Amino acid sequence: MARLLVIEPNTILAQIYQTILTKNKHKVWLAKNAQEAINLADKTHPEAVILELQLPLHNGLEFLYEFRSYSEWRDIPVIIQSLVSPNEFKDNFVLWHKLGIKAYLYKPKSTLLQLIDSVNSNLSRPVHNII
Amino acid sequence: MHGGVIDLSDSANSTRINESLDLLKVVAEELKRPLIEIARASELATLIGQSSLETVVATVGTSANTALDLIDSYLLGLQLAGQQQILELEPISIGSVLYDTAHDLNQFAKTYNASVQLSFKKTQRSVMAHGGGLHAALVNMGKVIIESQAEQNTTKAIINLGIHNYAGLIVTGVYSDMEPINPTYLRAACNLYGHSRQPLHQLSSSSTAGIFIANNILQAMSVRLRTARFNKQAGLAVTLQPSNQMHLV
Repeated sequence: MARLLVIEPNTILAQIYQTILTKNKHKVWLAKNAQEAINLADKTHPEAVILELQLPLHNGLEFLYEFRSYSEWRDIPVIIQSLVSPNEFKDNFVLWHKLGIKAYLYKPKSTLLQLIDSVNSNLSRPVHNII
Repeated sequence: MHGGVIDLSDSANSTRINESLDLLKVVAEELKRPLIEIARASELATLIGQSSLETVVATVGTSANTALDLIDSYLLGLQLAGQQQILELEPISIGSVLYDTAHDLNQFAKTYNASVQLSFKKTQRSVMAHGGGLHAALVNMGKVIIESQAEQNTTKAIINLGIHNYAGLIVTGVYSDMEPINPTYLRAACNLYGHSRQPLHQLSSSSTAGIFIANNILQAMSVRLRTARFNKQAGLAVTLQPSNQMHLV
């Protein structure tokens, strides 16, 4: 249905996200860090990005600045799925809004179903959940 | 303070409590990771059924063991620090500690597409250490390095557990093809944990609690965690006093 780029350094979680999103008929690419994500985005032209803000080397915010600096990626929906707590996220709400974040999910409290919902409803052509 | 005199023991206790709280904070943060893995893996099994059961069970097992090891090591660090005045170091075979460490890291390494190798001669001298503490410190250092390698490389990582002599002392540690950690940066990170989300962000996306737990355990043995190089690889290590007693035997 859609090409998705998942930026998730945790190997186990990345595999879980890939499994559930693939079951929903999406095509998924996994990146573990910001540099790998930029390279993959260039090759795969994702229709949505799922991003953990806590990354090794360059963090998620740095990735977003870089990602948004290219005109072809300016409107790609980005969904944050992160260990960064809601309070900390709220502190930078204006910035996140400016960077085009479509949804924020706090990892300890959000389910896979919520992730699928967020992805499907934020695609430029929204789709229905399969699972 | 009593009558204008600073009570150093109170001040030292307060520092120790604050350090302990900072370490607890970083452990709590780190524990979220395996618990999230377990929660999401269970949800995945519910959503897609039997086809994923084997993988899910393996994931849950690895994640639960990671969480348990972390808690155990944290508690061991507290226990050793509490005994610091009477902590008795004894002669131990460093080779045998590394064998046990490799055994404990093996399953974890497989999960992260890495393998663990031992890299030392059979005739290594013994060292003065607390066996359980040294083992726990090395396992924690190893896990952080394995995770960091998985985050930064797509190829299979090889982790070496090595021993070498340096200025009459014995250096043992965990090494890989990682970028060397700057020693100043490591020291700074050891002061930052509990206050920074990613004190060693060049190494890992996590809070790298394992490194600070290892450092805490090693400090209780009056030795320090340090950066080191070995066989063209970089890593984390500890320098230990050789045991002359065992050498004579």
